[in-house]
Amino acid sequence: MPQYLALTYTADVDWWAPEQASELAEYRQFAVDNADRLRASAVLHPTSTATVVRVEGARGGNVVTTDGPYAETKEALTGYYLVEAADLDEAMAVAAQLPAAWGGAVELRPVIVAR
Amino acid sequence: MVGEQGTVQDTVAETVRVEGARILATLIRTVGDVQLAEDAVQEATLTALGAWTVTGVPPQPRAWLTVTARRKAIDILRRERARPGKELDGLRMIELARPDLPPDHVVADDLLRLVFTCCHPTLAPPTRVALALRTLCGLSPAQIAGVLLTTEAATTKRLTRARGKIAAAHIPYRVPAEDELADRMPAVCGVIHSLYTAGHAPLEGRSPFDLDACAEALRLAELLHALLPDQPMPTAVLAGLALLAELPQNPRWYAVRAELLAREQRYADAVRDVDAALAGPATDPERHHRERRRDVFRRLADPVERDL
Repeated sequence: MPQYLALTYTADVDWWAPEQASELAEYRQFAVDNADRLRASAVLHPTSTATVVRVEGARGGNVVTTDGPYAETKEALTGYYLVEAADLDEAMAVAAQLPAAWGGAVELRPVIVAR
Repeated sequence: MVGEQGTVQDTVAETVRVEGARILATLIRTVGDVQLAEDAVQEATLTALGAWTVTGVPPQPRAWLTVTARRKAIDILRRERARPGKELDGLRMIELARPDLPPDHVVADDLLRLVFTCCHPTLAPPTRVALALRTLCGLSPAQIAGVLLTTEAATTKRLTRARGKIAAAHIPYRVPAEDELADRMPAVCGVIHSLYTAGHAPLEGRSPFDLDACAEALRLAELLHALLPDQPMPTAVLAGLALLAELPQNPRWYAVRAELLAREQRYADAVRDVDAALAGPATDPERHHRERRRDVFRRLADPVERDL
């Protein structure tokens, strides 16, 4: 069955903060409601905790790391869900239940499934 | 001989234009791949051009093309057998090997599937128009580029990307359920509407009326209305186009007029408006119809304009 990665783009918040508790609960409820379709999921720490890693030149070159977000944007990648669905219509129906769909955006990317 | 060759080419072109969508629609369902089905129809067309020049046009050109396109699809599937995920599927092969034509109701269902796949809301509006022109109207990328005011290369790229997305993202090849139709219909009618509008966009160095695009829009509107006779929106779009495209003399308008009158009040009101417009003095027909067009579409196909 086709798989889709649903990437949630929302305000760059700290999900552990108490004021996010009610929204986080909505995401938990989404995961419970769609448990049979979700193969993996994660909620991410804010982009201020991110590290960008690059290797200079080719493999084995100097490792260069950058602190913080790659680029400051209004909406950031804040989580992902691996959705299994028969087709794009079904995947869209699942994605439309994610709070990010009205609080930001959900990007649905078809996954290359090894056959 | 030049003259004869021209006739054969005309017949092939005409058969492909008229029957191409029917052949393609069933083939896409059978092979499950838009690109592969299009390639097969394309190869069958080339074969027809070669063979018919020698043997003359067969008595049933449509049957000939259908069977040839299926054989070409088998050839392509065999060539791709080595590729992962492209193994030959027994049931598919049996259907492809059939020598007879699919019954009309099967073709109608397949055409409707094709309409809704080409006009899927997850494709950008210009992409929907380009796909519909390619698969449902059988226009070449160069002709589509003319309608969309872009280059042939850009159109080819757009079509390739769209087929890639349909395959990779599994955009379904099915007719939406009854309760989904209301959501999906505006995208379909929007394609027809913008195609018609594109036909009237003034092109540099060309006649302001590209009648081809308008005729194709009318053809699509008639197809959709014939496939979904109980849906009011395709009927409304067809009515609007019939009036606008061929001006008051068009007998098509009078055919759909009767149907519209039998429907909701909203459509009956629109019919009265159109009748009034037709009866009124038309001192400047061009301007008159431009104004009527805006007005009639607002009334008849409001959701269409919202969608695009």
